[in-house]
Amino acid sequence: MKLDRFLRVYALSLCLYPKAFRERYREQLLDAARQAHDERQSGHGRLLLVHLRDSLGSGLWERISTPLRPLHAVLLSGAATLVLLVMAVTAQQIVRRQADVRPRQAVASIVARLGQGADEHMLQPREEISDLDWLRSDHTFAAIYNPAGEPIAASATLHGAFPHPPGAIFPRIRQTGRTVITWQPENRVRLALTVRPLPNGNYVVAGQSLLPFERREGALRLSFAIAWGLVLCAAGGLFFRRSAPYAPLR
Amino acid sequence: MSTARTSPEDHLPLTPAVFAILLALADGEKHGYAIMQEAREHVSMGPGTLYGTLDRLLTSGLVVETGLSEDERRRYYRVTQLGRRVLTAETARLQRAVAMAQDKGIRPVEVKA
Repeated sequence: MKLDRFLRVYALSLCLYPKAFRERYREQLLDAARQAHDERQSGHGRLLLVHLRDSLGSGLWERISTPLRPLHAVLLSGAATLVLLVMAVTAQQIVRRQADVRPRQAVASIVARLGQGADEHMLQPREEISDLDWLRSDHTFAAIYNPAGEPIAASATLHGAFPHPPGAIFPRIRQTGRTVITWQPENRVRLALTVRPLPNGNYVVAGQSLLPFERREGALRLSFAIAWGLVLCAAGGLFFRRSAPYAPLR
Repeated sequence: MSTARTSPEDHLPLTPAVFAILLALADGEKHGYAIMQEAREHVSMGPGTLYGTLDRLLTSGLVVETGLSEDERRRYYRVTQLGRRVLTAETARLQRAVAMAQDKGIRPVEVKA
């Protein structure tokens, strides 16, 4: 590799260093690279790689050792906040979707059994949805509704009656094709519902309490809040700490 | 450049890079590339690592710049009295460590080139 190209590429890598360091040592760094190049007859590509790796390692170290400028501190904090926010929302969505897995399986199972000729009244109420133990569990309930949204049969009750979601959701499900909804019949009861319309106009619904998943979401939010706090502290630390300026030129 | 750390022991233990640079300068002033050449006998060192470390040595008063080459491309460095005392103290510290290792039956292994 020719000296010109070698030095051009190496000079580009000096951008990894803080400006003050570059101004202080640029000529000496280039001179050292020039001498290293001149001493070798071959292997200049490998030599360049070694120099680039050195720039990456020591350049980043010099940057970490240098207090952040206000704009950089703000940009770093903003970028970290954005990344953490996206990660937190994504994680929350993943946890929420996990709540739909069992209801979806339950709906598929009931539809299959109905297709095999089973009667709607195979579903008999055995559990109470408002019961705290049920709300904390991973149990699912299933129910079948007529085309008007009135319950025909269910495997659980809500305060002694069949669970009865607002009738308006059923025609909307047929229109939009969106089969997964969240239903909150009362303050502490939040349910992940999966609805499947049947050819005869009825609907099969299965649901699961969101309480266990909301607890997981809460733990995730707390983790991300702590991570966010640490990132801001780190950025603040890099901004506020003092470090000696580079040695002045004589 | 003045520093609060004036006792040699305050600077110990030295990093391998610092030790190698001070050792390279122990027999007289040298420019950056010559320091790097000699230091590479002990540790892996690129120009960025060299000048970053040299800067910290300048700031802490262990090394001073002595001048420029005729073509003004190279700067020469010299170890200060404090730097020499630090180097001596580090060498003594390393010797004690080697003696302790030998007392425990650790012997250097001959390395064939």
